[in-house]
Amino acid sequence: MCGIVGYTGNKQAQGIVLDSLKKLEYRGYDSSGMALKEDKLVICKKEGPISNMEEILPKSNSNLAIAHTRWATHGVPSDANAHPHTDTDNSVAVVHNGTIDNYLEIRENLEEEGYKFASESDSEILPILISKYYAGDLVEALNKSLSDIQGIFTIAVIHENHPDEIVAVRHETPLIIGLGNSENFVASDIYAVLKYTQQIIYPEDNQIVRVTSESVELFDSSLKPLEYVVETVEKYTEVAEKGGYEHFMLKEIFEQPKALQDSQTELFIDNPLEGLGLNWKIGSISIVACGTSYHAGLVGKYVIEQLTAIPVSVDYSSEFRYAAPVQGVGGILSSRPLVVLISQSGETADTLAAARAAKQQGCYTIAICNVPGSRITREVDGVIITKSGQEIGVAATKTFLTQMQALYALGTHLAFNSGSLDHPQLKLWESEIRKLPSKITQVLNSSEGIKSLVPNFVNAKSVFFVGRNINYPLALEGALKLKEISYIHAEGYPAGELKHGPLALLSEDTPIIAVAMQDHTYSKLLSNIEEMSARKAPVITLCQKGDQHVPKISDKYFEIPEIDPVLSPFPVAVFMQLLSYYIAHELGTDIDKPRNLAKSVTVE
Amino acid sequence: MHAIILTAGEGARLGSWTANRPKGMIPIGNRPILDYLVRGLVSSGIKKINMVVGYGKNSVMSYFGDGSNFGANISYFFQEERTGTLEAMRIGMSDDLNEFILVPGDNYVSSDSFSRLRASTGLALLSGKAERWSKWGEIELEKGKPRITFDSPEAYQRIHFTGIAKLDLESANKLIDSSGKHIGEALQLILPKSNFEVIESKHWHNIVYPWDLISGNRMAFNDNQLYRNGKIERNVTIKGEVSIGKGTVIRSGTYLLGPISIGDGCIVGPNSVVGPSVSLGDNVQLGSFSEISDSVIMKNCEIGSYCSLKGTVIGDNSIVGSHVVAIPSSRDIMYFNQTFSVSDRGAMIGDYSKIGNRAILQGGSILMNEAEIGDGELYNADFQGDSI
Repeated sequence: MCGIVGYTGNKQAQGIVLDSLKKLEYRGYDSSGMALKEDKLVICKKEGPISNMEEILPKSNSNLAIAHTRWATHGVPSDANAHPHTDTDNSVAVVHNGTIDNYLEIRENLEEEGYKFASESDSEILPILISKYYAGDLVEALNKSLSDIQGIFTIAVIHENHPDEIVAVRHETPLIIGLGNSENFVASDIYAVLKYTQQIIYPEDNQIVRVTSESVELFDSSLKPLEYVVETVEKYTEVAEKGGYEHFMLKEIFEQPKALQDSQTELFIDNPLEGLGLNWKIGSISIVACGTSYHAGLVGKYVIEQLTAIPVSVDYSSEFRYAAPVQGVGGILSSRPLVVLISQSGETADTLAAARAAKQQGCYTIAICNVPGSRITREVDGVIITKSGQEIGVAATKTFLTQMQALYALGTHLAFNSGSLDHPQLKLWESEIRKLPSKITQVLNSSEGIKSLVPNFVNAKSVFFVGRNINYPLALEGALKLKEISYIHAEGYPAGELKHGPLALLSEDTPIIAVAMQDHTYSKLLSNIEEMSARKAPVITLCQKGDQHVPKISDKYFEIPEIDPVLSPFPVAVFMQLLSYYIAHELGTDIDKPRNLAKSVTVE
Repeated sequence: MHAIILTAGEGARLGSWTANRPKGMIPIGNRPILDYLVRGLVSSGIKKINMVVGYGKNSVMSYFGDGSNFGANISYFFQEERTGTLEAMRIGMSDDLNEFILVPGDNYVSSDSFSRLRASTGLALLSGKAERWSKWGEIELEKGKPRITFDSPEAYQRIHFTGIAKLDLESANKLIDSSGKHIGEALQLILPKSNFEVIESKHWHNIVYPWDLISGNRMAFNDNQLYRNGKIERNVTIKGEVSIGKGTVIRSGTYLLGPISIGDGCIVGPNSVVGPSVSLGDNVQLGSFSEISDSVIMKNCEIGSYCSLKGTVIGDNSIVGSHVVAIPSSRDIMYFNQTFSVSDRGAMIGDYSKIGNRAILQGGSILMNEAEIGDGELYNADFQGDSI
């Protein structure tokens, strides 16, 4: 959340920073701003998407700039609360990502000392503190300010007396340094700078960085210079452009066969699972994640339990991190628990904290993550990288499928290690998983059929999604997708639970999406559909190709390709995504940037 | 200079292979036909490409994106109704356009053609040699001036118009205003009053019928992109131009005779013989002791052991059992109510098909999507519809 970009070098900074900032717009779009160095500092900021700010941006030849795109935590989105913030006489400009927990206290103290504040934002104390401590060296001033503040933050600062210098620091939120030729970058993530450089430095927490066009220096809190490592990241050829699609979300939905296949090549050929060393007796597994990743985790629970008979619990990161240590955790090594953390960005604040909590309690941690080199991959014991490519749409789509696939692969790997799958069975699973890209391509090819279901939903006040067994998480995911992009209230339920409450809400105006796959819960699900139809709720059922019963008892139905029910979450997910997309499209919402939401949630 | 690529049509005469993709996305030499056109245009310096999409547009847009991976700058224009090639060209004519190259997206043409077209001073038509009648018409030169005719349907080895032309705004508008029903006819009408140069292409293949995929595939290997990423076990013999994608494993004892293009994530062998002129799409598994030459195997196919496949096309996601034989013979076949004389073609099999063990498919057999042939069956019909 919130994106930061800075540039210092021999080129015109404005265009480069603007271009990079747009790559981070998925992190927030409440307001944005830029600070440039003319004779004095020039600040330009505006409420709304980056394009609003771009319109009022003055022409500038500055070779130094920092910029910010905001997702509001403290203070409403407005011009005044937008970053960069400055001190009273505009000598220092600061962009900040994160939250300052003790800002009220600091603000009161500063106000007593006579400093004036222009906004409600917690970030505004930063330039004032820095300017207060400034005595010719910006690194020193920032370091002194850091001892006053508590919270989580990435900060980048420029000063009018230092026309070539950006000083930055991070504490629990992301910061990367990109090295160019007579130019250097600071940014929230590598996507912002990959167009210009693949040489990246990942500073640690609380290390202060001084970046000029020709040099990069890192300091610890006593201002002692530190050594650093420059890493070369893979060139990322995919570009953040929509390439003919109306929205990034639709583009990303259609990229899913490729995302699955690229991830398979990684999973089955390079076989990172072998390298995880999971050949000990695992007592229990916890899967910890937020949002859509949490739903992938729930699907993983069904698969792993079915294959390995190891108990799996799935928790929200924000709950897991504050939960009491579980009995047995940190106990004898033979039953050491395995904790699987799922985060697309690898920097989700809650999931990172959960990883630390799990490690502290002696668990073996592995992360499923889409961004190599991200924070979480540096903190856990083992990593499975998904190869989805960058996801821009705030509603997660392709990362959900690749995360599920990684969990299936993990499940089969654990089952093979523990002897519950033999070699031919493992090969069979692998070959079934390899067919997934073609199965979901079939769903994508029938997108017109999904579009034709839209009129059933546009006037709905509330929609229920129901499923059983491995498709229960898909009901949750379907409801989440619909909520977040169409703003229609939706709930996902296990089909058997409706009669314990929600049935009271059903009427002609509450359409229902039921997932009826022919597994051992099929006949039960059919009776659930009858229950719901009896309450006059229109039921739209997803069934397997050639299903004889579903068409008779449902108002509408949609057939997914022939597939083993245990793998059905993949085509079902694609159906849910397309349906939500087309409903939201019909309702005219801003699909790629749903209100109040952003990607890469780096706040608690 | 711009290019306008027309790829909104379905290509119904290809039957099965365009049920799940537009014609331009059919792979020959392991790349979609459109890939050759886009790369050919870019290598001749034409980077601004207006792509007119319609049928199956998502697969085109997902593949090319904004074009930056190809060094191009691609904009998309949408032709949702089937209103013909002239209308498609009009849709693709963006405001910033002046001189442009018009490229129907269902032709394979060698990349050098574009640079020669671009270098020509004025308006130009690209001609090519073809085995049979082409919908774009033939070019006849009369006192140095080209004329397009549609007279002789048996136009074997004559000079054909490829549908590819260099136009300017004025001539394009003349085409649109003419009474011609499609681009060939409209050009026929305006040619007498215009000055077009005729430029000959080295390689051109019009992909219209299923058997064109096999000859198109052979020709496409003139532009084979060489890469070698997979894992090659010991005792594998590789001769000629052989491309191997990432994550692919070539098992021991396999003999590869180029030109061959193998996609990502394939498993070949052990002890299989592949080539020449074979493209294997991504995720293909070819069993041990199988021999395959002159064929296009599309994505995600599984082929068993001891198969012999020659001159054969297999669509995406098909499963071929063990001991399956498909080898060429010369014969006349009925296709869309027309008789064609076909030689050196094996079986042409659509997407999602299943061929049983020990099945024998006679040369020139055509099987539509989702066809199923049982174990040990002998199949020699021209056309197996979806109903079987």
